[in-house]
Amino acid sequence: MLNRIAKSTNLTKRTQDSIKKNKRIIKRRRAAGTLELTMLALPSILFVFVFNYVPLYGLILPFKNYNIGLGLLKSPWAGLENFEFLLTSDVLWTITRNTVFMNALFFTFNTIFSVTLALLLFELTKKFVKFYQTVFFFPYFMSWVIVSYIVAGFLESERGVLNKFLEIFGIAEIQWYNDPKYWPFILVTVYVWKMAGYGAVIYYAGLIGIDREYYESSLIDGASKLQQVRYISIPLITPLIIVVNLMAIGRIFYGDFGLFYNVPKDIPFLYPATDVIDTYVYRALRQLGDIGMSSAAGLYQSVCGFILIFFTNLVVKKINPDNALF
Amino acid sequence: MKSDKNYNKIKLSKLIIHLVLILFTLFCVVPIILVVIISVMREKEIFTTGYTFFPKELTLAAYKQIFLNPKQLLTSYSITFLTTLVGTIVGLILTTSMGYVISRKDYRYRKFFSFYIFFTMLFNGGLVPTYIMIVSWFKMKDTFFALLFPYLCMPFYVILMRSFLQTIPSALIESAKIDGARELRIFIQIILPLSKPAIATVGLFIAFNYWNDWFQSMTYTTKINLFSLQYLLVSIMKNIEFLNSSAGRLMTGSTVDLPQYSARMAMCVMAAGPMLFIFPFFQKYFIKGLTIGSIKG
Amino acid sequence: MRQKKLLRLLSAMLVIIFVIASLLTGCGKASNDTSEDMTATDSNTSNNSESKSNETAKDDKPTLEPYTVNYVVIKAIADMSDQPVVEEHLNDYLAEHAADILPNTKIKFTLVEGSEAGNQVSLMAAAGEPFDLFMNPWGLPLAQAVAKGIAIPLDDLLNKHGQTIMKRIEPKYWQAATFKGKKYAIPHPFVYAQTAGIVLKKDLVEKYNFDYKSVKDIKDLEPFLAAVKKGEPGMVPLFPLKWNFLWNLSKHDMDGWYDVETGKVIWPYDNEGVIERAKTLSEYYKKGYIAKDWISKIDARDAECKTGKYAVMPDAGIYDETGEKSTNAYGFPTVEVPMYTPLIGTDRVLSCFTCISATSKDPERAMMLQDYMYADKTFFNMSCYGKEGLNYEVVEGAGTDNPTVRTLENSKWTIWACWTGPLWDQWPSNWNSAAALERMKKQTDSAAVSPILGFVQDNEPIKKEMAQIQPIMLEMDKILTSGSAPDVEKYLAEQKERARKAGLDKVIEELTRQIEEWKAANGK
Repeated sequence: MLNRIAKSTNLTKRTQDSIKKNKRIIKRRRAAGTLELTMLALPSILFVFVFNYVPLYGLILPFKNYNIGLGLLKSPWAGLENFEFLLTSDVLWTITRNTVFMNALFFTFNTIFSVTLALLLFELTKKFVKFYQTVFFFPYFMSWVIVSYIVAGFLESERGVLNKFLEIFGIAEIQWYNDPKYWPFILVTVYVWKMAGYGAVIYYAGLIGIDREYYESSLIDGASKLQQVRYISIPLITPLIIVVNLMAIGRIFYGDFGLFYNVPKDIPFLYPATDVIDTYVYRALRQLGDIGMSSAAGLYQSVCGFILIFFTNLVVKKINPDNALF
Repeated sequence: MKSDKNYNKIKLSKLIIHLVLILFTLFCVVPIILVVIISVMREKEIFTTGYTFFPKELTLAAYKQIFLNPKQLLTSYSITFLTTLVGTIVGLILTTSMGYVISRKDYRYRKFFSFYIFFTMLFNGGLVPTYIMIVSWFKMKDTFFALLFPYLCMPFYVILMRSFLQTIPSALIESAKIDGARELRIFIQIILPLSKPAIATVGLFIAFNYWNDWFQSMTYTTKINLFSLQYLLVSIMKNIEFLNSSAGRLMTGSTVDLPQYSARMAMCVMAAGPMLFIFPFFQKYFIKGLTIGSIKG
Repeated sequence: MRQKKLLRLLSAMLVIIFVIASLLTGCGKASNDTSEDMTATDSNTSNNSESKSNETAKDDKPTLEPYTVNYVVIKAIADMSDQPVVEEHLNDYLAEHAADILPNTKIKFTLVEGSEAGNQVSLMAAAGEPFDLFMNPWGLPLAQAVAKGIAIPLDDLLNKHGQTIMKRIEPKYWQAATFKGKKYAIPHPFVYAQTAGIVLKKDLVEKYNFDYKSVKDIKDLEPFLAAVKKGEPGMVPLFPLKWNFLWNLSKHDMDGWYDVETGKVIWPYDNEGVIERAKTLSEYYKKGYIAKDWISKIDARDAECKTGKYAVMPDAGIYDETGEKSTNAYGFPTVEVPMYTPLIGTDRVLSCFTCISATSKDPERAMMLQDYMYADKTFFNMSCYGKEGLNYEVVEGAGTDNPTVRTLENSKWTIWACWTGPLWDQWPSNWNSAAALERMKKQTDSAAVSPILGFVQDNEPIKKEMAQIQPIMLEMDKILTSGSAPDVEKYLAEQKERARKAGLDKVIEELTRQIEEWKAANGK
């Protein structure tokens, strides 16, 4: 940029010299800035290195026939043996599909609900925001086991609240636990119930971080509330929405074990819709207790997630480099 | 006249907003009320009539079962409180500084360190290497630090923080730099005050993480005076289940029934209850309407 | 270009990981060396002190270095906060009563969570944490503990320091803990055979005058179920439970895989009895004897039984002729029908055992202490019940070595007797009365023993196949017990085909080979 200025104004040699000097200073400053910023992040960088990177040597576990007496590194190599049980399983496709499909539904609906709640809260005064946020957060504190009881309380065929309610409209008793077709809907409802409050806090914080000047100047231009939402709020929190969902996509091959195991009660009829990688691996290895095989399953999930996120990130980068994760 | 109409319009829109939010509130709260009611129901009634919003009889038996040893409960509450407090403060320092540095578009290694953090979200070495590190290298078994360290710098929060801080206009930082401010000063005096809502949000999440944890406690502590609240409750619950199970009956010869279903709900109430006090503390910093201009001046 | 950059990043990451890994190998070696050094110096010092004490003391009895034996047990109750007091009490007792057998020896317990015990013990072993004895960690089968190198062989130790144990455990049971000719665990005497029963609601039995004593199998229940279905509109006739209703393992070992009569390894669902019962259950389901939503209640069996809306249900854990146990547990009068008593096979003998850890600094002392638990009834019971006055009180027989005791309410210490020693040594108490112990012992002593008792299956060569077959079996159990498979034969055939694709033939072949080999080696 400085170059261009120099050329366009046709400066004398002396001023060009002084500009060069300035450039050096800027360069040095920038180098100093880089160093200072690195120093600022250094404690965290080191912490992450020690607690997250050093244990990564455990990634060789799936390729080993682990013997504790020998230690991880000296245990004999197992090649890809530990992956076989999962990759040749006749349900591999079902469980992978369920994991990805259900997670995709979760992210989509949770984002819609969280963003909507955050936008609505944004219009209210602090007193109300406090109340609503607290209430929306309550479900987050229920463990999945508790949730499974509550869900059963609603869905049980004879005593369940829901069937009693449907009876009023003359709808016959439904066996919720015998038919997989209801379950994507039930699980999404449960997930949104538990997590929407969490998401709403994130997006609300994103909204209040927006510079008030945007809204003030839009008011002067005579923008309506809806226009403000559409042209200011949503575009400005879009990067946040994208990042949160990108992170979720990275973990899309991980099913939430607590949710998928407890809420559908591990009922075989429901497997076509509710069996995910994590629950299947749990059942397969419950008796064998083989740590090499379970970590092989974990690595499968990580690597698939990594490939997916790698390409998603590329796409995001093409559209807007600022929104990309890395 | 016109402003009156406008005022009415605003009022109407507010009303609609409240209606929607109240509906969602009911969606959230009705099951919670059920949890609270079940926690004071008699086990016998739970068995015969199922879960109901209108129990015939109320009892505190489940709470009594949990309060058998109030001293222990108090210890666990304080352990959890302490880890939450220290963990949140230290965790915020690490998370915010890291998040800030990788949010700076002019930082040279921004991409590298973003990836460096994100990578650990996907790949981890599993429990065995982590356990070996914490127990045999750092000798942290049965210490408070084992409860603290694993959650201090979570990648999800760092990246969340980065996204929040990215919205700070770079012009602000540029002008401070022209004034000759060093990076640390810019961070502390300009960035931190501006990002109170972001810090409060991430702080809240870190705090909840510590508050809800029982896994670290189970893995790294064997001494009961280091049990976190959630772990103590999990442990009491498992014990009740065991004593009520056939294996338990075989070993104890007992046929007495302990409250199980109501106790589970009661524990949930006891664990989530204190949130009513933690939450508002963080909400204080959800301040709307910080303007960059005001900071500049 | 960006891809290139990321690839570079990735490769950098990999390099870092490898550097770490190689660094760690270094670390591991270093720590191994030091530990060897330490043990070497340890033995040196003990030799020194021994020679010194020999010089000074007149008696030539070798004294032992002070040592604390660390015993890993599962937390029996949530609040074990009396632990320090009980440990002190036990150590005082050891100092006072066992000074000659176990000089300078102390005991301490490390308590782990039951559901995570297997993981926890594996982790502790992996981290090289020193502990000496550990009870069977749930979720970590003995075969795994041996294969992973967590437990050490005990033969020499038993011969040298475990004579009481050797005397107390019948030779046939030792086989169950023997791998490749070496003993790896001490199988504590316990209730190896437990009759499985089903329970009928007493008022209905009387009302319909049902001769429950003649019931031999679930198909005999038909008239009763039909009567209840017809006469009691609010009732559900049957609430079936896995083991008691579908399985009869009185002629099959290894969870149904081994047919005792033919001596062959079979697919457990080829068992004729199972097929017949599955068909009966399916028929009952079609006739409406079983609730349609039964399967959603599988996680709350006890709770469901307690509702009192079922006429026939599983027992409350322990079969009891009088039906008293179930009556107490369910809260209404019941009568009980015995279904079968399982064979005593390897897995039953291994329900409670203790191993010595590979990380033990002094395995000899560990064995000496375990032996003492078998030898001194008072010490053993104190370790289970706690301290008198604090955790229990003596009801009668004070001063003898077999008093009757009662645990105090809110006692903050418990170890179930069978976890660390012989159940039959337990002092009678409110846990188990003398009569109950007597009955259990009689039942165990008279139960049939599996011809392959002592055979331990090695899953290592077939773990891939087993990992795929296991979920199929779990699924089948649930569906067959619920009676909800409309065409049992078709369903069984389909599932068997699935299992076959997962390598069932290989599993059967391998298990047959292992059993033949075992039989040849043991002269059977």
